[in-house]
Amino acid sequence: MSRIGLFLCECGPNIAEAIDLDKIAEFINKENKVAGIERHRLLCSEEGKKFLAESIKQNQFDHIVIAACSPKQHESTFMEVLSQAGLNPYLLQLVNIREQCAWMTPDKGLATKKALRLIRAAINRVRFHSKLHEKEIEANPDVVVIGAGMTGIETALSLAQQGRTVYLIDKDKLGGMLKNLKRLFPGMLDPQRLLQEKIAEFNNQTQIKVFEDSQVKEILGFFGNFIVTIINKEKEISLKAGSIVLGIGAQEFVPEGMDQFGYGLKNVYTALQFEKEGLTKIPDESKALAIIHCVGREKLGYCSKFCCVNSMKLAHLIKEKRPDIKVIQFYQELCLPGKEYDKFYRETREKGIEFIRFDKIGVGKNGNQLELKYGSGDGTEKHLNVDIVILATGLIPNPETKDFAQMLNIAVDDYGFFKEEHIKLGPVSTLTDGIFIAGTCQGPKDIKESILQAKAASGRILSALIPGRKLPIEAKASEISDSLCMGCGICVQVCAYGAVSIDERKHISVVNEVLCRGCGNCAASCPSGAASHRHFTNQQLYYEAREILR
Amino acid sequence: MKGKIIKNSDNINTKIREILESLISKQIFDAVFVPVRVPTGESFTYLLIKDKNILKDCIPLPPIMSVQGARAFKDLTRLGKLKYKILCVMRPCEIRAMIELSKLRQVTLEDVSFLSLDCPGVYQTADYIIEPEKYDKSFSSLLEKWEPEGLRPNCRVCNHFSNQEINSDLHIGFYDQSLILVPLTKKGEEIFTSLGFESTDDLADWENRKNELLRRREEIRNKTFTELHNQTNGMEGLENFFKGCINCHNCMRVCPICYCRQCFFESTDQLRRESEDYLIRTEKKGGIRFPVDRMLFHLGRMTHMSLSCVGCGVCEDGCPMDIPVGQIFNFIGDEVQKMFEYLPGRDKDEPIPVLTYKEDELHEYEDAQETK
Repeated sequence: MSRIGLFLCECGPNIAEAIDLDKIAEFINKENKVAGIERHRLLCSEEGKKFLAESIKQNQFDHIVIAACSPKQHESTFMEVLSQAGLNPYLLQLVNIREQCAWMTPDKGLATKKALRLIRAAINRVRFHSKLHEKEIEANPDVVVIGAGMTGIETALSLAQQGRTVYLIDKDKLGGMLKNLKRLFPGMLDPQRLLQEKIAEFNNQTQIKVFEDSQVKEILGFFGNFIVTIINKEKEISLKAGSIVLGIGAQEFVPEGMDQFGYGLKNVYTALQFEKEGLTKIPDESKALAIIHCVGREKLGYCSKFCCVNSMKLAHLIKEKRPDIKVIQFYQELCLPGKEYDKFYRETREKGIEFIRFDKIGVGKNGNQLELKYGSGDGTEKHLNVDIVILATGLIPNPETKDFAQMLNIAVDDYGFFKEEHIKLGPVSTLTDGIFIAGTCQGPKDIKESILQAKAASGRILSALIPGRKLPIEAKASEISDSLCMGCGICVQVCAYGAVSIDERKHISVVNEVLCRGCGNCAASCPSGAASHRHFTNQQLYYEAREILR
Repeated sequence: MKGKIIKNSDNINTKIREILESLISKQIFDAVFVPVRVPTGESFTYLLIKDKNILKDCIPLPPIMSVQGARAFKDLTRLGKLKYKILCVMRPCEIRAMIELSKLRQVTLEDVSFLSLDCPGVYQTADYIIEPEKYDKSFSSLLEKWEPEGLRPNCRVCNHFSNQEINSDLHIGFYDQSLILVPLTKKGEEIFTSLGFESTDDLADWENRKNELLRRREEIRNKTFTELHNQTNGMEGLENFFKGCINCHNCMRVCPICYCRQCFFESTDQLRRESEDYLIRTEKKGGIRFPVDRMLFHLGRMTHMSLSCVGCGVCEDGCPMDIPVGQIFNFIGDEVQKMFEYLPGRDKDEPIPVLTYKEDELHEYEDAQETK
């Protein structure tokens, strides 16, 4: 018979005023399933934690139920107290009677009733909790960075500066998108010089090993222990690393088939094509040039953020070369976030660049010139003849994105870019531990933002993967019984983390406990009950549910 | 559709036997997996036959299904793929169960070829073993008349009794004292050609009869399912339906799809509770039936295998209490399969919906505002 200790936290007035804790204590006492009930004003306070630890020791409680706030807030706090009191931290069940009862149910009687049910459920569940032990594994501190554009280069440098060995891999040469650019906005920096400077820094870093013209063939393993196989000049090379950063970039959207913009006509370019080739080939007789913003935005379904400012950069470049040419920007909405870009916009206007807002626009041929037909909101159609049209299109994912997503078991979003773990709280991490994403492969962004992500990913790796330190693995994981499993593989299919595989020799499924995140998909889908979750066992769930439904 | 029509005044089993013998002689296959009558005469068993002389005793289309072919086959590849080529001679529902088991990794189909047969249905085993001669006689006329009377109830409503949506290699149909040979796959084509046949005969007559039969079957099927629906509606209807169940779990044991080493519902660790628990469970209903979890077993089994249920009805044949368990599984299976636009055994490469994990489907559980 276990000695369960029940702790009721008043949470100041939060719980005490909304729930009749005396009544709960009285009822639980009568049921005679707990060895003791303690009540405290604020259990998460220093004094409260001391009280909890001492009470556990004095009363020799071996399982603990705490009725307090959300596990998200204080489960780890209380688990730590249990450890200090000499109790395995997994012998705790925290009942959320604050967010789920006190703050939800205004009627004190009903809130009390609900809290009582949840507490009874926890008492019945906690009896079946077993001690879980947090294991640790050796980890390799080296990092593989895939993609050697600005993002990959920055990531490699940041990591190398901290003494990490970095393998920087690219299917092409160093530089990525930067190689195609003439200037960077808003400071009109020379990207080629910047690139040379960065590459020069590599020479001081012996820890960076660059593999150009290399394809990634296979990635196996898990956080702390990945093996990346690449093909370099028809030779297979196997690299070992603890973490992987994907900085494979994106590509420019080419408005093929969108006839209204005249793509395919002579002197119609996309922004990138113009910067690469068109700029040096402006015909001498050219008098006017139009830049159309937001081309393909509606089709793609998102704003690429950089193209407005990039269009202004192009205007500066044109004016530098040919001050005589009139440059007109056709826009719908201008995206000018941050402290730099509004200033850049004003500078652009001051150079005599015209901005016209359109609600519809079409590009056609008119003799040797291009004719723009556009509406500017007043219902009339206007005409303008120009010599060159630049289509400012956004970014779309590189075709390799989905291959890497599949290889690494990470998600892509609705548009095909890599999906971050959490839009706000985990912008550079993925659902697979140890795999990070940075730069435009996660979504369109400018160079500054790409560098920020590179630094963020490096920071995450430097703090999570410390040389000599082992990695803790999830204790609340799944296990599969050898003697019950028939190897049907349902669990392999439903595992979102690639943690279950078939042992072909024994013809059964096995869990890689390093990869397992304890989501319980396997346990829920296993027909024979061979797969189970260590902290959500059938017994625990049954008795908990029984009391809730009682 | 084209195929080969072979006139046959003999018993169909004799003619199929000749084909099997020829395939073994020509070393197209190393062995044949086919039903054989047991020595005492009143039942049948599957045999893996290598010897041509033993092949003489096989009954490719027996009048009963004493064991479901897929269930019988399971042990053969449990420890890995075959190292020789075999031909499985089976009824359509048996092949469909084989395909399902292969998706569930319980059988390996490498080097396995299928010869499917037009199936007029089977008699109930319990009836047959009493008067085998009588049923043997009526079975041979069944292939001409295709009357549903006296057959296993699921056979009467079967809509996959021929080569309809089947993952077989070679099919043999029966029509007008003839065998109709139709190759269905490349592999089937090879077997067919090796037998010296060519697809030159027009099969319209056989197909028309088949479609007419299907139309009649669908009618009975819809009517039966509507009745079942009304009969089993709600917990009370269901209780009533299973009222005779004695928890013997025979239905599970004979089922070709049920593959667990130990059924979850027989596992003492997973489902037995503290004695106090049973008293608590009487709180709402006033009493609790023992043995416990009788209905949970049927509902659980239904949840686990209804997507793959081929409606063979072997479970009902195995029920000592004559509960129409095969019918309800067939009916529920049909509904669930329609829901997922899935047909068990149609295509070995079509994944069972429960085996496909689509992360997109999880969005409905997420905070839409945060993730979009």
